[in-house]
Amino acid sequence: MNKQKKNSYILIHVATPFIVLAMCIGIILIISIKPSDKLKVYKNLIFMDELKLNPDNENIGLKIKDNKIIEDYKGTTAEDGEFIRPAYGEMYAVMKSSGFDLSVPVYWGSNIDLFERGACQGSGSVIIGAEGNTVISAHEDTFFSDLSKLRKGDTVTLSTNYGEFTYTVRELISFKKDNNKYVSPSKDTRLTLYTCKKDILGSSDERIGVICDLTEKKFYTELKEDEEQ
Amino acid sequence: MKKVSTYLPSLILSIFLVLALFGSLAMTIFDINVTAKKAKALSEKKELSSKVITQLNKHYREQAAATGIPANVFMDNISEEYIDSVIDAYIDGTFTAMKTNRSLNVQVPKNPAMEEALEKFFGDYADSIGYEKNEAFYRKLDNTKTNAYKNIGSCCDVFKASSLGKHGLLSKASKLYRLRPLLTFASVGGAVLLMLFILAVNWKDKRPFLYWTGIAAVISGIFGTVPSIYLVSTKYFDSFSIKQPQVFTAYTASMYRLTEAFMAVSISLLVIGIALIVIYGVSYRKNKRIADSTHSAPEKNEADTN
Repeated sequence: MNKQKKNSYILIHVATPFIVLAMCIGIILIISIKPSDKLKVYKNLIFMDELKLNPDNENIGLKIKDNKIIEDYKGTTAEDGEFIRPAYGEMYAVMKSSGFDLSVPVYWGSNIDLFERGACQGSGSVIIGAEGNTVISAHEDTFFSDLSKLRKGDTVTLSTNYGEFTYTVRELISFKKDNNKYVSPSKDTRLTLYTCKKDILGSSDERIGVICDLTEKKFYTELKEDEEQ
Repeated sequence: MKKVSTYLPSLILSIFLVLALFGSLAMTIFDINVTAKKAKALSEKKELSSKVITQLNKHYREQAAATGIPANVFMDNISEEYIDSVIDAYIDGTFTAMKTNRSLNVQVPKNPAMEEALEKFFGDYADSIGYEKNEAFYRKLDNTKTNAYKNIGSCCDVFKASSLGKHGLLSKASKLYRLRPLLTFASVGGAVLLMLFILAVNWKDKRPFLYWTGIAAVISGIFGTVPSIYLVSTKYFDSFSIKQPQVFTAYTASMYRLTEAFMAVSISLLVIGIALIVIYGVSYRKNKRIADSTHSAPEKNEADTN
């Protein structure tokens, strides 16, 4: 009886560290799922400057231009104003959102190199703030990694060098990549943001995104000459 | 250890203690190693300035055909000392931005020798073709100087602070950096508090306190040691695909240094944990022997009388 008791004591002493180890591994795995996903996105964002130098650009004539976007305009604003039309490959806006962690540069045009630099707006859609459908997309493992977090009522602010435009999320959408329903021109003024649906087995045919209504527009009225340029 | 009423609370507390010790370990290493001084020392030790010079040289040689400015106009006046001062300015700027939660604002130190060389080159070229030194001439000269400082700055931003700032990540890093003292205090304080709770739970027989703290130290030591050994032995960070050699060296060298420091402290914790468990084991056996002898003594006396 005594020997049996002794053996069970030894067993408890030996088994306990393994129980603690197993439980700690479980806790650490659960805690680290989200941060490791985020770290991957951050790593892509920081180091992708090094990856986006594609020598083929020279041949296809793509001129990427990174503009300095006004984000702290303190002058007067108006409901209506003039748009500054960007050239293909030009960064012309910065997107921020109440549901986003990142500030996302927005380029006019869509191309593999532009997608490495930020979100892209197909030149078939309307310029930010204008009447119609403004369609912006980006990779889900970089700039739009948080797009799926947006909910109805969240705001998306786009700062450009001609004004600041605030949109409010109206609808969450999901569609197949060959379905043009959401990316086609529209009569109402809206912003459509979309990205690929996360798929562990590679690229997905499904797209997810949001449709937003324009709720506030502020055209800058006191622009300096160099800012206009 | 004998009763469920002490075993279960001790088990739960020791799980939390593992996490608290691991957190204390990570925060202490972070606190000691992530400083502007250490980053500058690393940049000097790894000779990042010579890598930057090689990069700039390559850049200006490639650009010479398009701009018509020979690379040596720039490179003859860019010394390693100058590059070191620009790298240091970026490191200081990054840490200031993180400390103050403001945007990155780095003034690239001026290089009068390079500016003079550019002025001379532009002046000589204008004279040779009879170009009038009008407003357009000076605007082009100024643009060239500004772009030269931009290029130098971009190459000397070895920790990619500009990229971090551009995507709003610097403010995130700043939040974490400013919370650093609080997090260190919380994790170390939490570990001490948990140890006191374990002691309180095992108040009648204090020896299991050594066992529980010991296994918590061993496990947190294992958590630190095993991944660190893996990262160092497989040279994991060497697999990073970063094209600019100075950025690659800055990041990988920092990661290796942090990992090695983490590994050293984790091994120490592992050894302390094993020592505590051994002390507990020895005292447990000793106590058991005394208990056995006191139990067997009356039996022996009884046998004698029989």
